[in-house]
Amino acid sequence: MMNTKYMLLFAGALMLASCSDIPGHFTEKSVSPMLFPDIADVTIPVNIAPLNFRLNGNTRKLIAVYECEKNINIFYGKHAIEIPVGKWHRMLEKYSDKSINVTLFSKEEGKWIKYLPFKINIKKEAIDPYMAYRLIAPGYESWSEMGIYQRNLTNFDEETIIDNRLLPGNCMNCHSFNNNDPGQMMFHLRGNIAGTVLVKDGTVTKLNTKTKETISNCVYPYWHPSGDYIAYSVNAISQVFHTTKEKRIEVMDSKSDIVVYDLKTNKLITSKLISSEDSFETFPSFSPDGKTLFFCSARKGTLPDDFNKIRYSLCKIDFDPASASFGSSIDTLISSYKTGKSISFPRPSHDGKYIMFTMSDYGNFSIWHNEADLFLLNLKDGSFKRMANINSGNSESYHSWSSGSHWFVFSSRRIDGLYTRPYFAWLDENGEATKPFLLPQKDPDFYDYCLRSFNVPELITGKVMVNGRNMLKSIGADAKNITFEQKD
Amino acid sequence: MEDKKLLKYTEYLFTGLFLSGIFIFFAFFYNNHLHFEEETQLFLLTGDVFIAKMGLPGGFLGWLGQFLTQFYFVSLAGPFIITILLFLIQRITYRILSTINDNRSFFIVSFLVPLNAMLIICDEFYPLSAVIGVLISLTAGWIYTNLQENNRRFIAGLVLIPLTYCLAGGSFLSLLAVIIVFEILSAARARKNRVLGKTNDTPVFRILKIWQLLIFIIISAGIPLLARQFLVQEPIGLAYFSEFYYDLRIEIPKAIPIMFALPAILMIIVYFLPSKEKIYKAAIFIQVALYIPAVIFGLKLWANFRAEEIMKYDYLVRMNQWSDVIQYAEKKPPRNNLSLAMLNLSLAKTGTMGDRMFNFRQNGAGGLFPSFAKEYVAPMMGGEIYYQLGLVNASQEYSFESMETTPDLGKSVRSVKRLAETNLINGNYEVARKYLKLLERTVFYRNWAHKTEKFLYNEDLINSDPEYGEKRKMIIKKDFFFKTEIMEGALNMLLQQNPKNKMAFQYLMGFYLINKDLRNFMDRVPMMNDLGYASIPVGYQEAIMYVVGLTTDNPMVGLPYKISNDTKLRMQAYANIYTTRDNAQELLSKEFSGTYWYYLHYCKVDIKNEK
Repeated sequence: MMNTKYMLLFAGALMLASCSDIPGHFTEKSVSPMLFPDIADVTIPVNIAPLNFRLNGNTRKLIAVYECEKNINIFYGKHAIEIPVGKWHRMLEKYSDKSINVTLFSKEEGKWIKYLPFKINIKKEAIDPYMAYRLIAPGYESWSEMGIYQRNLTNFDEETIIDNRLLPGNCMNCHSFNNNDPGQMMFHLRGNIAGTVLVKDGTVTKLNTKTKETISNCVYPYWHPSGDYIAYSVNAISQVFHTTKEKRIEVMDSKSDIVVYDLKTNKLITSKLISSEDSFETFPSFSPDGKTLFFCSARKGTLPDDFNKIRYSLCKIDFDPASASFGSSIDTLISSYKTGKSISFPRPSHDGKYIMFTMSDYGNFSIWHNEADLFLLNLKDGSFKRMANINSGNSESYHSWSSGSHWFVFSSRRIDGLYTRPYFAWLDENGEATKPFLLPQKDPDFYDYCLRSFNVPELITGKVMVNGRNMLKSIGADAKNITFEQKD
Repeated sequence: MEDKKLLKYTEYLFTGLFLSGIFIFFAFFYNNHLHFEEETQLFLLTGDVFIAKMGLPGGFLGWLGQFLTQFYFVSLAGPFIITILLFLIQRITYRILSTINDNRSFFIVSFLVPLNAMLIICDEFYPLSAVIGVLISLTAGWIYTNLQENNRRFIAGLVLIPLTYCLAGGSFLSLLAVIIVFEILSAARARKNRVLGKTNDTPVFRILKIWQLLIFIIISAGIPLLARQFLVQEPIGLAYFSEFYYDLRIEIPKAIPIMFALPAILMIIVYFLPSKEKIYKAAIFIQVALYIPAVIFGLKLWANFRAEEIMKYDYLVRMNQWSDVIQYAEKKPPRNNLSLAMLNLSLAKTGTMGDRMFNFRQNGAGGLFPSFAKEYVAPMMGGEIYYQLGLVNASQEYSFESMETTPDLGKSVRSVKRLAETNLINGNYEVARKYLKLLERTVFYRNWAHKTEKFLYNEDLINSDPEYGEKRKMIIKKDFFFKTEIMEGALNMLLQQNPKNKMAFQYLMGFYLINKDLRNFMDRVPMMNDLGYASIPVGYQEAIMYVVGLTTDNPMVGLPYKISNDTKLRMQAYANIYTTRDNAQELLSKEFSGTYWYYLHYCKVDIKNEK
């Protein structure tokens, strides 16, 4: 039945496009084409950039036939299909909430081959149109060219927010946005002009977040939805290097606490419950209503000897934004004693239904753990599960939700085990994720030659309007000191 | 001889000497700097790279500089390229200067620009693109100064200044200086001619108006700001000077503005020299005479022959020419720990560390494992030792660090090559493939990459390969954290996990001997049994004999090895002098300075004790 349908379809296609180059004679291969990136049967948002791809192998010519509701679009290429942005978007808008069948013809050794068709499913719900990320080589202690960039996800435009071409010798990290808002942003600068750069209401401020009471400068951030607070961890971080081939680097905290920065009073606040001497607390995040602070916590250990015994649980504590005070107890949502695993990066969805987190065998720096996978906690019933469609044999780590709480982006090292790339997927109403797709690039070979990792991909609802040039004056100024208050 | 003929021959002779001098200098006295430049860049011959570079001010210059630098891979290609470029610079400078003063008696002045360019690239932080940038701006200047009609010159200026900035970055400032000086000097000459009543001298030539020069200045001031606003975020200084004249982005050395100003300065100088057609023989001789000290002074200021020596050691190690390293050390003994470490590595690779280590002046454990900042090429050199020892991850770490600290924010072909190898050995085939794919886009590493690609996912082929197979055998199975501060522990771990690791054994014994730790040395002597030693290396014999002299027990009991009679006799001779002569050190240094005994008694080194 299906064969007849396709035969009729292609007969029709041939007639309709008799002037096109669809081959009249071809051999049908009953195998799926080996594509890079793998876009077969993926689900994509209506506004995403063209999913350009190449066919691995000895192809000389390619013809891709995109078909939906008896309409066809044909694209040509040599070893890759690169679709013009305008045409692609017209096609996606026309077929939103539908599936496109893609059939690929490849000329190999002088003969045309037809591969098994695959589908691309289009969701009408758009993904946040921009993504901010850091590009840096997955190195050890030094870095070459690096910076924070933003990519327009609807096309291939990439812009620099700030990089070390402008600030030679400096490093920038941990960019974070409030509720995906490009107008409320922060990032840290390390180097001779160190500080935390805060962008809010069109003003840029540089903060010195180290106080004598805290372990370090502020590190891992998460904005309070009100925009009045940012939760941070403060960490004493060190790294050691493995000698066996299975592992490279171990990054660990020998101390860590959680603090909350109050933007209105310019003060860091904390509670003994989240800055305990006996445990390590890190990776804070606020619930969408702003009344709960989630974080990871592990019993203190001696490092580096106990490096593979430190396991973090997922915990929460109440937070009252009106009085800037913390609850009197900590709840453990997922205990490392029960799982035998370690949790990092708890990130609540904007609709408050889920927390997505990373789980690895031990420690908290999951990007260097091949076994690290993404999990989903259902906040309604407390159940959690491994996100089967999302994970790979390599590290899955950082992740960020789109505003609609269906689309999300996550970091994965699945291509080669070392260079981190951003993947996107859709989470349906039942909490099931679709097959992820790689951030599209104009040139499908882009990732082969890209020697930098995409770190901390953050989805944002628009373009970040500030950049290094117009922040330079504030960045060059003395950092504003902040004060500290222990709440209990 | 007729004066004109004499001048012509002098010109030919001087040019010939200058060019051959440059070629010989870079080919035979400074060639390793060129190899160094080549290995610290990764030039991919692809359209994407070209397009990406063209998006930067001076990007064409950067691309062309790297394109030509890749040919330094062939030892004599670099000197040839440099010689040609400097020759072109001289010819164009000469043409420009001729527009100011056409008296050929002062032709030697035009050699100062190529000389300056040549000296600058003796410093490894100044890339070849700096020279090409000068050439491009001079070419633009030559076009400009050859236009007689002022409107044409004005239009040419409007085109050439932005074009030079676009193609060659900072050297557009040099062009601007040439233009301004040319116009001012032309105006001055015209006025002088009017005063002298020689108005016929410049019948067509008209100088530009001041407002036209002001427009040039405004364009020159504005274009980098526009580029900074819309093209690339960079510090203001770099926006003007661009990044292709000096590799370290954190500063703009004075030499660059001087280099840019030099053609204009020389124009001013020749303007004030006599312009009559008369040939000044004395002036020619004086110029030649002044040139020689200028070259010597310049080389003293810019050339770093000490670095050249280290680079020579490094180059030979990179090429696995272990015996050549030892031969070179015999002629030019290492003068720092990096070179010494390369020598010791070569001794170990040829299996002669135990025999010959103390034939060369040792300098403590730093001569085995030099301490260095994890920057630029030093970690690559240090990483070579770890690679050969079988500490593949450590080698990988240091290669990566070396690549990430390449000053121009680029990558290093040598690092990428090594990273392909370490990932191959570790079985990380997709990462290895990534690096090999990069190398396939280069001119000189393409074949190697194609050959190496055959190893991917082919365990048998890797295991049977003399190099990769050997590293696979040495591979560490039980994990520990690596630190350069705990090399003794790391070497013991290597040997514990693979008692056949002869490299590790040689280094461990060397480490103990250098640290004068004879107890641990003696404890490991029996390990030679498993390592297939036919006899005891001479250095070990000397150490053992020293221990024998201190104890009543015979440490050689149960071992199938014997101390040679020669060692015994030499020990006796050494002991006679050592125990009986007041000036023992002086006497022993003549005959016994290459022995372990001499090192033990007279070499003061920092002893390394590990916890």
